Amino acid sequence: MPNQTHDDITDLIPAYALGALDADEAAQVEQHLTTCARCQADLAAYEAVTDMLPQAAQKIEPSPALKKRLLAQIQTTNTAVPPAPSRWQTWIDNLHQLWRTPRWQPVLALAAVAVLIAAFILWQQAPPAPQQIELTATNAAPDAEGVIEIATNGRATLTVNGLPPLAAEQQYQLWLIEDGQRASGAIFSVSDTGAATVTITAERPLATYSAFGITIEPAGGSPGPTGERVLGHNL
Amino acid sequence: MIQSHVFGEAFLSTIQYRTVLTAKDEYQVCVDVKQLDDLTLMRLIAQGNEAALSELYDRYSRLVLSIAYGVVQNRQTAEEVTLDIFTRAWEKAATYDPQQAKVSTWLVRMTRNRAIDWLRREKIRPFQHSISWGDVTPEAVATENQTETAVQSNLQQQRVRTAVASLPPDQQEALALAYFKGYSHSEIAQVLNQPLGTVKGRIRAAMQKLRVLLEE
Repeated sequence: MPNQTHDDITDLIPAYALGALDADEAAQVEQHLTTCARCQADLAAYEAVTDMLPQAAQKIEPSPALKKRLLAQIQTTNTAVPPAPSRWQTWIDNLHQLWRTPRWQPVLALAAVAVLIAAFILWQQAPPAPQQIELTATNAAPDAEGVIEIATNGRATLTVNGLPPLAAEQQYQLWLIEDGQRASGAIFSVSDTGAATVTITAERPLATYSAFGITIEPAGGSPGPTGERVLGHNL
Repeated sequence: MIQSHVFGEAFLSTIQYRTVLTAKDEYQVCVDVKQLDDLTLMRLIAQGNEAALSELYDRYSRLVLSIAYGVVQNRQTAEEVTLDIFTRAWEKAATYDPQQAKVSTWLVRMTRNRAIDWLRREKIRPFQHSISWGDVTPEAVATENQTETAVQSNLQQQRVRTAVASLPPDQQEALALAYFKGYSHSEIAQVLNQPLGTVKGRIRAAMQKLRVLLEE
């Protein structure tokens, strides 16, 4: 029945609500329902009838043992119970309760101001965030990425990705550059995926250098750069 | 009756409700679950409250078992389905959405679907149609200590039974096959050895009459 009229569909709604339509007719009803508010209301009414039908079923009394089995079973069943509220959550809930009590509101307001002032002072004294220096790839290794991170304690690490793995007789070398002078900061190899993380050794704080570069050198490193530059950064 | 004097009438408001649940033991002492509505029971079940599950079972196990029995026509299997339904209620309470259906409707639909799934999985298509609706005679129920909700439920049950009993027997039969067996029009026509159009007419007429009789 490709061209069902509205009335044809209306006749099918009771059986649809009951789940008694064959698949083709059910599909037609579903399509019609998307655009017909009247049939949607009809469907809701017939679904309510369907949901009442089990009230008319023959009543069967469960055996007493069934409830015992249920209560025993849930002891061994994983429940969807969310984790118990943490102490922190309980504390927040209790605070919320206090806030609902008028006589506590001025006290809590003062406490909130004190917390904000304390947070501001701590923020003022907070150590600086770690400094990051991004290195830029050259045409020799266009997929390479590198970053130097200088921690607040002065410890510096170099992390690279996408550097071509080298033959056994070669290694990468990091250069720390200042006034045309180049000092070795690290000598390293990379994994098969071109990744490495190494600690940088330097005579003075890294922030005092004006540029950084990574070149390909003979294994064990060179006194000065001799190979091709793959990553670099000029401050 | 033990009633909460600690938290007062508003103890189930959102904030206080959570506070109550953090003091689980105290809550279980203070509140009589029999006085709670279905939705509150579900919230407590979602928090792992066994007393709430026990109460939900007391309210709906007869209904669930009766539907399951109507479908599978075997007491032992019907009890297994019932056990499964309440275990699922325990596991899935947190996902229950009151916007979608009342708790009783949620249980009823889940039971019917699970029992019919069982029939299909076991390939039990007995094509028997000795399914009968419940007797219209009111069941002997203990009226003492019955809550108002239970009284209303009994009245509603009686109303539905009377409505179904008022249908002609051939309509009752087709309706039972559709509801309890999950049969489609064409399957019912095959079982009853009747023309498809006749079966469609019976189902439609039965549902239309029930709608008129049962609509508030």
